[in-house]
Amino acid sequence: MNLLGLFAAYVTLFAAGLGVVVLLMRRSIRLRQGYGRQAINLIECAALSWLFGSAVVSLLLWLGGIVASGLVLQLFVTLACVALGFIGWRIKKSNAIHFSLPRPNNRLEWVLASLLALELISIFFVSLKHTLGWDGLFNWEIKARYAFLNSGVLPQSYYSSPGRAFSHPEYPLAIPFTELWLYLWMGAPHQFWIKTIFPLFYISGALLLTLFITRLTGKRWLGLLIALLMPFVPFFTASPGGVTVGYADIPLAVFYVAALGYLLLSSESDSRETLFLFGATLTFIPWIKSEGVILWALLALLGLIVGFVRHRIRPFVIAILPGLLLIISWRVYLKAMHAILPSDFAPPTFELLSHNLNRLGTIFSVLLAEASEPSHWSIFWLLAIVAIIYVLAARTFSRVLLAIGLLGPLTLYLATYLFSAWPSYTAHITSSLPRLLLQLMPATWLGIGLALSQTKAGRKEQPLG
Amino acid sequence: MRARFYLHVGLWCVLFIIFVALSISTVGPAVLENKIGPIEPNHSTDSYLSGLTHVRSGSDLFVQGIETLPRDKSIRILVDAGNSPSEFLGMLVAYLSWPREVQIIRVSPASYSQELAAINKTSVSAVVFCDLKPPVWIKDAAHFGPSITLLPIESLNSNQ
Repeated sequence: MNLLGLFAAYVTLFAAGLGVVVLLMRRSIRLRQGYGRQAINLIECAALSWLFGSAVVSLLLWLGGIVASGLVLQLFVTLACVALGFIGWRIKKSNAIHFSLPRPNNRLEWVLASLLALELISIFFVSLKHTLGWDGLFNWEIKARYAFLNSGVLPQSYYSSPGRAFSHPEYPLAIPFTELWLYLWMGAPHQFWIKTIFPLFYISGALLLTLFITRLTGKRWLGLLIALLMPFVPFFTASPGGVTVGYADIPLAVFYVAALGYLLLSSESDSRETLFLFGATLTFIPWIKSEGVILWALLALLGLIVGFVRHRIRPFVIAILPGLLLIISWRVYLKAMHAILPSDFAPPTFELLSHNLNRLGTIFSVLLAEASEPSHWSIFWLLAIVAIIYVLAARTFSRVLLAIGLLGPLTLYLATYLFSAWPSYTAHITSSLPRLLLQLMPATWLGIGLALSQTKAGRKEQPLG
Repeated sequence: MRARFYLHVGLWCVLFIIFVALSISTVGPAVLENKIGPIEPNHSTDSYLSGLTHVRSGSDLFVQGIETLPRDKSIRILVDAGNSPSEFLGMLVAYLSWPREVQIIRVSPASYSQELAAINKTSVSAVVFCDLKPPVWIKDAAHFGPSITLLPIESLNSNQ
């Protein structure tokens, strides 16, 4: 029953995601040369189906849970998933849309693609070897379990309980409610099977990273190589916070690189498809983890800049509105639930800022110590510095955007420690900084990929990209 | 131009080789360690409880013990401030005690009698000591391995 339920949960998740992807792509699916039919890249579609499926299902469970619970809630979300899948299928039929599976062009691409496939499968199984880590259990799975035990809805008493404030009731629900969806279908909480969702985020991220680099440089082998190298960052594979322990940092990182990638593609073309996908991936960034608000704000600003420069300000404003609505709605909901809010940071004021400016030296020295720790990062951040120099030297609009997309979040993350309310702010930095850096890791690989290609500007469109 | 190209390729090749060479000693063992399973509903909590209390299938056993307590009263969880395993156990106990209200109290192992005395006995059903030695005068406590002691509030009343 467990496995059958698990299968049904995944089918409905992917159906919902597929529906969203086809809806977003339907107006501007690229014509595939040689076929004369409209084509959706199957790999891109599968990766985005997982991302949007998990986001939409968790959102529906949260919103549906305000008015319903138990079997009614499950039925409502299932019907919504099936409806989205059906709509996607109808659009595919009526527009003669064709799914295309990109095939490697030469021996090098075949080798790299085969190695990448092996690596993705290996990481999937490796991630099942470990227990859920501290955050994986106490910040995320705990919410899924309690919601399951309360007919699919997190009760108000959880949000307002001081005794369970350690589990961050204010954190958004994308990850725990994706886990909850699996529980509802399996009929019981199961700490082992929910671990399967985390490598899927990584796999989606690796595939999208490959596609972005391929499309932005015209070199598919480069995209495959970069995706292949990603798990060699030790913190990603071998440390608490990485892909194996059920934390939200990898999913957040994947949504961030997806939104950044589509923004870069939007800045280099007038494609509506990439703009829609930028808006959709951007929307869900704050739904994954609280820090997502910072990443969302930065990308929203970059989106507005692209809109302004490209004289397309209106569609970009529209693209950032759903995310803004989601952020506000979640804050209002927490207020209504009398949620215990975290006390990790003091309210930012100019007085506090000027008082704590002397922390900057320590903050940077801790950053330097962390970034140069070989057992966490090898020389990854040295690669990042070289890549950023390359990217800035290219002096093109999209590359400057990319540099801001890499350096901006880091700067903002570091600035938050000026307002840390921990008795020892250095302890706060050392405990959280590695995971904040991890959130930027796939986006940094994107920067490295673009730096490696000496193409200065211009999207090199490939039919199979 | 050609020299610049070779310099570019050479630089990145060297950087990637160093990157992978330094990574492999950490990533390799991490990938190979452990094995998949057991495929159990309480896979993670059982594993932690087994490590910290040496009790196997501990999650279900602990929940069975907690189920005997009234749901409308809260549980006080005493942990040793500054002792990570104790604090982690406290959170595990809080996690497993749902839907009962809990309060985690961080105490000094040498002097927590004040916190114990301050517990409101009408609204509390039990006190759980996590990796903390209960006071010597306590007799009727239930032990869950060597690290967790569950004390029904009646026992606290009768002993004080």
